[in-house]
Amino acid sequence: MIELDEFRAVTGKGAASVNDAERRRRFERLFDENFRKLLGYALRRVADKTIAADIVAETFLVAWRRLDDVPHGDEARLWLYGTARRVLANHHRGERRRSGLVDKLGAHLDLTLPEASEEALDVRAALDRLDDADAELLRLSVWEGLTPAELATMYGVPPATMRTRLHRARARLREQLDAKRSVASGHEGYDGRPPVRDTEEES
Amino acid sequence: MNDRQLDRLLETAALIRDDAITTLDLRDLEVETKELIMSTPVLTPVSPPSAPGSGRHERGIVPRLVAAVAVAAVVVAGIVVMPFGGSDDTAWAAEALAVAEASSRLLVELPGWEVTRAHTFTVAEGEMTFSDGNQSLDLHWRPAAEHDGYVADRLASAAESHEVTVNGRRGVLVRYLDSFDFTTLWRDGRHSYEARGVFPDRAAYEAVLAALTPTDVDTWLRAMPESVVRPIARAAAVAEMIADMPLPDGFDVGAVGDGRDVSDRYQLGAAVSGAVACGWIGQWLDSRTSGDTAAEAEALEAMQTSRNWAILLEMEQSGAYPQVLWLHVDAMEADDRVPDVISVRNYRQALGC
Repeated sequence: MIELDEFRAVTGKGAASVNDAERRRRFERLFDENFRKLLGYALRRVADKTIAADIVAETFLVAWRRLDDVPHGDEARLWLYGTARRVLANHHRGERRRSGLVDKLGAHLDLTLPEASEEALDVRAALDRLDDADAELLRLSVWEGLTPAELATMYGVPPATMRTRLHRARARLREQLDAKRSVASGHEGYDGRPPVRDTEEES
Repeated sequence: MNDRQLDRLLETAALIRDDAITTLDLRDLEVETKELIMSTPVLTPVSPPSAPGSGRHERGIVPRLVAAVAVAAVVVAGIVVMPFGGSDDTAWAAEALAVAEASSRLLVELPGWEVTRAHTFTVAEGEMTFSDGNQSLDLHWRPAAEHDGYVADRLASAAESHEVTVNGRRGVLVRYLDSFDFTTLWRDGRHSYEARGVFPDRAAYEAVLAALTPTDVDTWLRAMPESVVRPIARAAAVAEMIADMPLPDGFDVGAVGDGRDVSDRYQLGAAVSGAVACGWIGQWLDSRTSGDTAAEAEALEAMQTSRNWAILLEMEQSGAYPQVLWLHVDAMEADDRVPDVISVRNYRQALGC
């Protein structure tokens, strides 16, 4: 029983109770302050409300289990976004299995998403054609309102590097939007397919 | 278009903004979600991991607990004795035969490589893991109609992609961004296949990929490891597992599982012990409400025997499901007044029943 020598379940017995009560308070605060921000994050990335609810619930479940890893202060939100992104990636890879809890949450989301305008669809399509990392940077920047400094913290890179990446991502989005317009106006040179690279991703 | 104009354009694509979410009446649901999350067990280290960055915490009990609870949530409570057409080892259950006959029946034909896990084992979809003890390869099969969607998804996260041939079929090999996590997808008949694993380099991955070899039905089904309960042995395995368990009134062994998949012993053990435990915990909660002290005592006594259930002692070596179950016994013994552990009332979610 090696694990039990190394780990013990939180039992709430003895001295652990004080820490556990504190732990619960901290999680409640984290949840209350960020639940709707995370819900917005998920709803802007997946069309299915139940899947969005699943991503939010799973993200907070990870936070509950790894509360000691969650940074304090404003960085907690960035940690949650990073976790949500990984949960979302696993969902795309078909590795997530939904719990009953989130089915219920999804079913209760009394929310009707507005119908997207043609312009919005074009922009979303252009985002989808971008490298995933570029697209997510732009979404985090504009949709979640993260500053370059916050993004730099989230990705663990110097702010100057992040500003360069953002600049590059915007340039690539412009290219995609311009390409679409060229096609619409009869120009050639764009086949409408997402780029498939056969080279190493730059770090 | 300057940056500001571009950002405004991007905003229009967000579809829903935070201020719209702020106005939603979700309070009750938020409270319920939060409570449910906080009712799930957490394991914390008694002492810090041996060295910073050792990865011990990540590879240790916590992910296995998550996996155990996930398994519990997925394994449907109940096993049905699967039909089979014979009495010797080669008389496979009809469902297993159907899976074998419908699939490419691939095995990794390299020294030391064997099947270590099989899960969600149906004609439509399934997954199994091959390993040589150091590296492993996950093989998934899914309906062919889903192939293009999965390929597009993998390419969206690709650092590189190449056309390759697997088992005589053309496929696409992808390396995920910032990793040596490789995956290859190909279509074969009614299925889309995907073989994924983390390898030191592409050559090492492709060597294993090239060793995926089709086999006959018996060879393929026999390749299931000892820990995998083959359909023909399933009823016997369930009978063996419940042999030392007191069963609650009305417990229906035949209702444990839907019988359409192959589970390994851990999953089967979680399904069986969870179903029995849930029966007793349900009786315990009901009797406390009705004031039936005899039934309450009977349920507690039955759950206390779980600390010696052979299958839980066996499962304890490879996962944390037994510990989660025993935490419920602790909570029952403490009169369910240890709110920081597990609320017995949430047993169905925690134990997957």
